[in-house]
Amino acid sequence: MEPVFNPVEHLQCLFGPAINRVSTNHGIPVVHVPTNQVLPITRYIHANEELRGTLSLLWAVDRRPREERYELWYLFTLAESKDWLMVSTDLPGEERLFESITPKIHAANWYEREIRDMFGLIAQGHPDLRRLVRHNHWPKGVHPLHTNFPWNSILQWRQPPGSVDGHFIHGEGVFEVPVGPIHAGIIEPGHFRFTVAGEPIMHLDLQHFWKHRGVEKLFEQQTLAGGVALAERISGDTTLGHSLAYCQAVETLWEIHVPRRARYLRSVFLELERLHNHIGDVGGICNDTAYALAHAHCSRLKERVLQLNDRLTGSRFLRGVNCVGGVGIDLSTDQFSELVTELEHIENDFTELEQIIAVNASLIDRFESTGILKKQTAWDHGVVGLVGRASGIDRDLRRDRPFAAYDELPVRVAGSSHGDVRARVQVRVSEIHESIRLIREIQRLLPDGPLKSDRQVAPDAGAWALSAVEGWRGEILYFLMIGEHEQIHRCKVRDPSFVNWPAIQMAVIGNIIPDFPLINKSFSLSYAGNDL
Amino acid sequence: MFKILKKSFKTGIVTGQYPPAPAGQKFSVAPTAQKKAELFRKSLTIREVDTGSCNACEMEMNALANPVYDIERLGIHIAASPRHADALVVTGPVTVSMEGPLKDVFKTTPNPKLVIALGDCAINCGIFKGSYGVTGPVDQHIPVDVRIPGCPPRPSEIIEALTELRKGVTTFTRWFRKFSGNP
Ligand code: SF4
Repeated sequence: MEPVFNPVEHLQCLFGPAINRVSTNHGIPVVHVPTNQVLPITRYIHANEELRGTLSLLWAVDRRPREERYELWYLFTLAESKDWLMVSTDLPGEERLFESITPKIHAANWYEREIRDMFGLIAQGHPDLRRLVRHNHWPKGVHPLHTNFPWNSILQWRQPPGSVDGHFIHGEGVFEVPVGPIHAGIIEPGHFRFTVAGEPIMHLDLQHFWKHRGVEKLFEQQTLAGGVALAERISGDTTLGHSLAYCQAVETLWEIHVPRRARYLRSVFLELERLHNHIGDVGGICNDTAYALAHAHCSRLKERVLQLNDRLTGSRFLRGVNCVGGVGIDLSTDQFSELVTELEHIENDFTELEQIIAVNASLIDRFESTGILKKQTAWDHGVVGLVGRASGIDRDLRRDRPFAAYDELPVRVAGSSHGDVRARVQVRVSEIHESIRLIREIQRLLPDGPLKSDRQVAPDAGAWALSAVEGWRGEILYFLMIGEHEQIHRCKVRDPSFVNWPAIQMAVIGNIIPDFPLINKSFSLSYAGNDL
Repeated sequence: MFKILKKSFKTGIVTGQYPPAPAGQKFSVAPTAQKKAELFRKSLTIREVDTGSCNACEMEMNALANPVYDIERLGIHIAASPRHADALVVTGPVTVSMEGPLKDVFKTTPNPKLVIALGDCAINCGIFKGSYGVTGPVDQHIPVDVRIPGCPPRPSEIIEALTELRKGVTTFTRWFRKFSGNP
């Protein structure tokens, strides 16, 4: 038998004295290192052939008032085993500087800018330290995630709102096309600045965070049990994905074993959420090529799923379904048969529609080779979810780190290697069928039993947990740390949009501006989940 | 071609196939709003502005345009620019960064105009109330005529509120008023 490769031992062998200590928290290995060793070690994890870790999350924690230090955490997902590996370092006392890893690990770019805005910790050597979350009119020295920053402060503007810094390209025949924050359709606000020479896009500069509502700070005002409603309202289209990820984090901390029936129901609702969003997006993508017929049919089908959600749970967006310890809503046998029959109708309906879409040459012509995101680019940016799968990144948490009932429900993961709009549509279509299949499968397997269990332990302040859910867009990550009296000390939320947005800047290069809405819709990212 | 026609015939007309709005009117229409809405008669052009919502309210606005609700049949049209709009629908609490754009949009919308606050967030900031990131509900920045609560309000509720807003603008009443000399 081959010896099992242990990444932590491997690092210990190699970096030995440079590692302070190694610990394990709820099964996740953490390597604690001094600040000056972060760059070599993370770089090794990222580049080493056996590890090939993608940076999944990078965040900071202010440990005040208990301890005078900041912590920086780096979470890697290893390519082969899909295991997690964490690196952590401390910035004691008044230390505000740390070494940027962005020059070596591109995926850290936005995270380090976010940390600078939210904590005032500066990543030295970062190639682009413009403000990210705080727009220019925000006052200087405001770092909302400092423990001593009052959550309900009233900010005084420095200058009229709306001004942003861009990256400019100058030259003859080079034009700049600013778009937003208010767009033409019913969509969320964001500012896009295209640089074009002739028709093709040379460069796209994204300026987001118009909708920053201070969600992470609001979490810190909540108790562990009380945060579910807020998690549901981070990104409305992913209500269930976010509430599930949040609940799982609390359940890990309280060591709750969620009953089997509840875990199965969670999977059902998660697939329903995937379903309505994917169907809506297929229609939306067709609409962006002016193919209104497909859009009309898809929005009709999406409405059917939403009405089904409403009948089953009393909420079109599945609000109030999850609670810490299980689910708040049960499905009777009759309801389940109604669900499956309705889904059967929807699937037949959708299949007919697919056949109409698939033979429309002008549509396929717009889809093919538009907005290509290469596998290497996707990997460098740590792209997740369906966008990643369409570019050949074979990752799906439902299979790789099973949660809810997926440990007993093998998922056939869709994928493609083309990375264009068409691939993203195809992945969606396969996932629609797969979701319906999974729900049918669950009907067969759904066990009886309670819907909720109680907490087992009361962990101390400073305990933390990480949780991950494969929402319809991709990996949703939550880091949750307890403070005094069961308050939340820190809740880091990562919607998949946060990592996929920067990648869109790469996918549009060389395309024409009229194709941008199409590419954007094929990524279908959340602004609210990104801006927090 | 044949397939497309067959599909359309098979599907039939789906407009109106939705459950009625839950009983008990929750929305509120300012007394002056109905008067203002009269000007637009049976056609109302809406521009939606998101100032920090969680995007569920947007999805319900989008749903209004699908074949099931099809608000165009009620003479309600969604415009691509505030310059073309009679009414602004604002969703979400007003964030620090969206306050400026919201005021700009309000300025560019031609007078007379209506402002509709859609969803709990727009009305009272909802769950985000008090945060450093939000500067207050919509009516702190621009005058609001109609409030449609809910998190998010169902499309049927939005339609109900819009119908209420435009009540009394029938051809008959207009005639009646004209001939009775009682505007
Ligand atoms: S009212 Fe509710 S649904 Fe609407 S934006 Fe606010 S949180 Fe989202």
